[in-house]
Amino acid sequence: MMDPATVPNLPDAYETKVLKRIPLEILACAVLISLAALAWSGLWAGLFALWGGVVAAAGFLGLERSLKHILDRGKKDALRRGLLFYVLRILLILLAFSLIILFYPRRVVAFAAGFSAILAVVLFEAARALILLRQWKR
Amino acid sequence: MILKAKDRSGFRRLADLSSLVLMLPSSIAVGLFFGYLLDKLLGTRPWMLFVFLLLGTASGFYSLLRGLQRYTKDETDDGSSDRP
Repeated sequence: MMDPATVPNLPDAYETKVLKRIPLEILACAVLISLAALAWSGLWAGLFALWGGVVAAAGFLGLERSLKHILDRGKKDALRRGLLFYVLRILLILLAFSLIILFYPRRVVAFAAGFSAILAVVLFEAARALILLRQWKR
Repeated sequence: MILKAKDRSGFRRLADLSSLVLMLPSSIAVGLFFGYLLDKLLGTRPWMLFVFLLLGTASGFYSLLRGLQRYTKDETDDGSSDRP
């Protein structure tokens, strides 16, 4: 049996790496989507797709920080404060979507496509983690 | 043995976080999709999009709250079970 002191803290390191990597991957994915939108329907669609990706990456960072804050403190007060900040961020996302729907209704698809980059990235990371887990089990 | 148990808890935490992260954007995306579709079918642009965006956000936030409650409860349970 291995000495616990010599065992590397593998999952924590992996988890931290993944959590740091995800916002950058969201931005990279959003850049790809915006390039596609740029080629498909022009400059504004590309910019809106990129903006959607930036909002998604900021939302991810916000949720990660709120969760960390809640779990580190572990108090009801911290939970309330973390949730309050997260609600404010959701309201900002809603405001961004509402403004686009009201003033640029045709661009909402491009914005949503950029915003959905987070789904693709998280699913990709989940598949990658599953493959790694299977390899380690062997 | 130790490494395997640690791996499992790390991956479990990562999976829980991933599901929490996915709840809100996926609900918003589904709401936008249905709103856009209904607007096209009914010719009500942009109202259905707006209504379904609100519904998607509300349902995503509700799921997120429930998931968060479960996650914090699990974390507390794991923390207390680690103690001698």
